[in-house]
Order: sequence, then C-alpha cells, then structure tokens
Amino acid sequence: MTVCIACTPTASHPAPTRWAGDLFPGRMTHSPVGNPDLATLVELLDDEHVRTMLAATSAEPLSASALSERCGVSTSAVYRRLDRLVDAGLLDERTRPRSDGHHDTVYVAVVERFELVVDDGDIDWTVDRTDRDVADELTRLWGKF
Amino acid sequence: MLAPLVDVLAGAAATGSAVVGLYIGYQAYRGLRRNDEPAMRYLATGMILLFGVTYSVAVVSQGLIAFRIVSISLQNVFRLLVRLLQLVGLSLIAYSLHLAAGRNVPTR
Repeated sequence: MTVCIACTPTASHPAPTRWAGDLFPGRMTHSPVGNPDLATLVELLDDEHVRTMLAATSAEPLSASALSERCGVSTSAVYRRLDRLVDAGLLDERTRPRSDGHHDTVYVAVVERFELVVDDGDIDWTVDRTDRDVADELTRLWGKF
Repeated sequence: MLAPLVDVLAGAAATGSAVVGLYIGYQAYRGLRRNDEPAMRYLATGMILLFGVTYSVAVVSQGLIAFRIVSISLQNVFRLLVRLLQLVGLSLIAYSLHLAAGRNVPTR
C-alpha cells in the first residue's frame, strides 16, 4: 500500500507508521488518489518564480528571504507561493538551528518527478517525491546528540 | 597457503572501512554545504582524517617499504603517524559532537 506524507491520512491513504526516527526513509510516492489536483500543479508550475524556487531548494534548503533574493520578488510574494507549494506537497518545511539558539525556517524541494500519462481515454499523473536527503538527516541527527 | 588469503581479506576489509568512512564524511560535508552547520565541518574533516588519510598513509607506507624505497626501520614511524592522525580525527569528531550538543536544536 502506498503511504503518503503530504496529505491528510484516510483509511485508503494512511499516514506512515514510522516517521520521526527513520534514518533512511524509503521512497514515498503519491498514489494517484492522493495527488495534488492537476490544475493546481500546472498552475503552480506555470509560474516562473515557482520553478526557480523548486530548482533552488532542490540543491540546498533555503529560507524565505534567501528565496526572495533568488527570485527578485518580495518576501510576501515568496510566502504566498511557499504556502501553496507546501500544501501541494512539492516543498517541505524544515527548521535550521542558528548559533544564537533560535532557528530559521527553511524549505527544501521534495518533488523529483512529475509524470503525466495520457492513455486509454484517461489522463493520469503522479508526483514522485524524493527521499529525504541523507546529508540533511545526518546533520539533524548529529545535532540531536 | 592460508596466509595470502588472510592478507587479501584484511586489505579488502581495510579498503571497505575507508570507503564507508569516506561516504559518511562526504555526507557530513554535504550537510555542511546544505545547512551551514559548523559541527558538520569538524565531523567531515574528522571522518576523512580517520578513514581516508590514515588509510592512504598506511597503503603508501606499506608500498614504500615493500618496494624497499624506504627502510623497514621506518615502519614504526609510519605506525605512529597513522595513530596520531587517528587521534586527531577522533578529537575533531568529539569536538563536533560538543559543537552540535551546544546548540538548542529544535526537533522537526
């Protein structure tokens, strides 16, 4: 059974049983039933800044202000897009400790592939999510000791 | 009859340790690059010293001695060098641990 991390758990679409302590979580793929709405996806990807944000956060976790610099738009415009991207399960929100004891919220792309299949009189799409990055998990775990 | 096989297995295990150690060091380095986490700098450097550098020194010194480029009397000097590098590597990892523990890291 496919397990989904990005949407509200239901009987047919359960939340993962193991989560916080996982060192190397397996690949998590949305089943078609849990896919974000296709119109929402396409609308999001139609936005140049959204594409910039996805590409940039696939290389390293970035804060909203860093993304605002990359895209050359205001932080409020970035936050609007971030909310929608997190809701659609394309971005993941993380916390990053700072040396002063506070922490920053950073965002990391969790979408790896978006596939659209037109076949047999039907349109089907899947969003493949990446494994959580081993380096980020190591950093997080090392900080927990 | 058995001795060469044991030598080969020991060499293979040492190479395996170096590869796995360097993999962890590489992930720590990526953690540093991706998250700007200073503790990961010391972890990465420590792992690379502990597994990569000591392994290279051991292999090179064995080669130098085997081909009689340097005298076998230097063998203990190389051993000392490897031990010292291990000590430095482990100290860096211990320091990294304290750096990481000194932070208030919120759980996800």
